[in-house]
Amino acid sequence: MADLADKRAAAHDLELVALAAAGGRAPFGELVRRHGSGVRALMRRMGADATLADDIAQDAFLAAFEQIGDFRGEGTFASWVKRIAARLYVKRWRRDRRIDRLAAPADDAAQITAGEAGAVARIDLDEALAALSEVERLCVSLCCGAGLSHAEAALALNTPLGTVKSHVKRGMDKLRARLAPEPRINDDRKASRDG
Amino acid sequence: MTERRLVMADREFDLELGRLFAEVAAAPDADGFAARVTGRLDRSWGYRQGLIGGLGIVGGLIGGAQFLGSGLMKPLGVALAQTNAAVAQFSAAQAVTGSTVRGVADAFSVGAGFDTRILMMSIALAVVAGGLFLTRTIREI
Repeated sequence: MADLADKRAAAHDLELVALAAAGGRAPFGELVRRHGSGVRALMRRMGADATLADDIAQDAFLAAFEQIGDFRGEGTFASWVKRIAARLYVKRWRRDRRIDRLAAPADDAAQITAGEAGAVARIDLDEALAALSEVERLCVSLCCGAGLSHAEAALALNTPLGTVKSHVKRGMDKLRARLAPEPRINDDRKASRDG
Repeated sequence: MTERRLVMADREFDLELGRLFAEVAAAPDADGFAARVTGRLDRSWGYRQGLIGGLGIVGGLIGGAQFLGSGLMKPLGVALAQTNAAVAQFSAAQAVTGSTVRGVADAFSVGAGFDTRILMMSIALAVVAGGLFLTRTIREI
């Protein structure tokens, strides 16, 4: 029994997926153990609280088990489940909240300047995401965390592609200002020297 | 030149962001979470098995009732009587009183209300069902 567990722990994701596709729930459990944290973290980054993140991650893994025959191994198993979870979260988000929150972003006063950003440089991603609006965080997490294209995110959110793109751009700008302000500042300085 | 550098910086930042999103420490309750998911899987599997079994029993009962009510038992009784007669004739022809053949014939001639073909079919079906049950159980283990 312990031997089997050891073998499972050492197996590659694709081997476990093949065993799970044959109906093996224990190999699938090992996949959940490996990737559950990542999926739950993504849900929290998209804006879910801990309980909701846990619920949606569970639902995503159950859905993944049902659809495991559809997994072709083109990407990683983790990214496949994250996409399932992200879509489930968006569905819940759309059901629970008013969709007009997705209207085109207005200029807000929370824009971080390069100077402020320098002071808070290298803070962690979760803190940086917390500075984004709810919709920006959702769009950035869908595209950068779950790996959806802008078009796929727009489809999931049932909103125009341009709106999603602008939310992602604004969110990315804010994140860049918080997480990696140096390259752009240096470039700007060089540009002014060149000019 | 500056624009290209900015684009490069953007791409590098995109990659860095992707890496940051992917970089997650294992949660302390990772095992507990996995247990909750597999528990839900087991429960849904149990419900499914129960449902299939229940539907099978109901279907079997309905099928049995329909069979008994269809009046097929009469012709079967006639066929059974003919089979018994044929077996008895065969035994007499062999004239092996008390031999193994007689034993077999006796075993098959269990009475006018019983058809050997039904018995054989039931045994065959039971063997198939047993085989299916065994393969399912082995796969589960």
